[in-house]
Amino acid sequence: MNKNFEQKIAEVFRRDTTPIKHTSHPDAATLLAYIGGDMPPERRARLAAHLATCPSCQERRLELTELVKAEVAQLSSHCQLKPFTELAKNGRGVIATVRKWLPQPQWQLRPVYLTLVSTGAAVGLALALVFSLSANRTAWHRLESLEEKLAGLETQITLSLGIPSQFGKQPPSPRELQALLDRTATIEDPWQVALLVGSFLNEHGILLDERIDWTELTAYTVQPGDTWESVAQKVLNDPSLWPLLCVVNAKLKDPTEKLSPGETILVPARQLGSPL
Amino acid sequence: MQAELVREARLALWDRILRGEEPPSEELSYLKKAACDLSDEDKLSVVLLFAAAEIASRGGPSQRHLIAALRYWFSQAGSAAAREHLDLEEISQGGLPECLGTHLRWPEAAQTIGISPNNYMALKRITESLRQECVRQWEKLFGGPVPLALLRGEQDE
Repeated sequence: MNKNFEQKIAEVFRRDTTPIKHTSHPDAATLLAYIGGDMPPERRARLAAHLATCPSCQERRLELTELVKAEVAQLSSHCQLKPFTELAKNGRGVIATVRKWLPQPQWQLRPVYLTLVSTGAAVGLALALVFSLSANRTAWHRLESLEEKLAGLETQITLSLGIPSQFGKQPPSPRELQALLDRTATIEDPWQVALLVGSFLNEHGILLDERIDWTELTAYTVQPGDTWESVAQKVLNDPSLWPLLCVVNAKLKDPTEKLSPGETILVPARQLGSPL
Repeated sequence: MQAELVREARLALWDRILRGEEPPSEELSYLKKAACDLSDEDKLSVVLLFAAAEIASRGGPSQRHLIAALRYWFSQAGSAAAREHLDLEEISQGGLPECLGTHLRWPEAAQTIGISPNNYMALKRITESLRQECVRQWEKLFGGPVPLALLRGEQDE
């Protein structure tokens, strides 16, 4: 066993800590900083060496440590939070006191009823929300299906009649129409005139029916109540093609004037495949 | 006067080791140079410090067992008045002044570092490690044979 070596170590340590008569001593602030751990390690180690060989300073350190501990214990007791149960008990007491001050209602809403009513309201709100969401979703679905149907009908009409959709296209303005008339005035061939007018109308979303034969024109006597649109409806099956009639008759009649009964204008003689 | 300065330097280093801190290398170098002119008894104190510093530098259980043993041995020195204010928590967080004079028992010293109070074997093992390291450090520092005073530990009972 190392009993003797242990005794030797103890002897070395006793000798090393033998008190020395120091010429200077740390003040209370320094000792408090040491106790509080608020000191750099090098300085703390030097002070520890001093304390180890200075019984009076060591005694002062012990006294100060006890004082600090007592102070900390006192502060802790003052700062300690009360348990939650005690706080809750106090809280209930305060609420009960405040209730006494308030006027008593005619009927007391018992907590059970209050719970039932609030639960029922919550369930009702939830159901209303669910139903409204469901109805809203159904409406959206219906709207979507209507839009699809409309698009389908439009496509169907366009395909069957050969008339493309006019939705979203702007009709020609009078100034544009006048410019078109000026251009067609110089062209003698009605077919070329028809092509020019057709492309003009196409730019504005109005397509000519391919079945109409523009190479042969015939006279049409204006009937009472006839307008450019109604004549276009009668002879071209499309009132929106009235500018075409204006162009064809540009040399006979000013298109800005209304048609007069008994007046004669030129219209396409027939439709391809079927006489007018 | 030189011996007193070296003693103060030793005690400052013991405080660092007791707190689990690494002793500054410049302090050890100073001590190594100053130790050559000291008496054999003071040389032994220096060797013991270097041996402890070496074991502490290994870290882990060796360092913890060493700190417990040093607290145990240092607590036997100093005024016994400190025992009246025994606070193991304070000792576990403190250094040399906190354990001086507290006259710890081994289980108490072991408790301050968090090892089993009944682990007496730890004290025996660390004492033997320290003794062997002292022999090595003596030869390393002074070159010559180890004085008989140091070898007394080998005379097992």
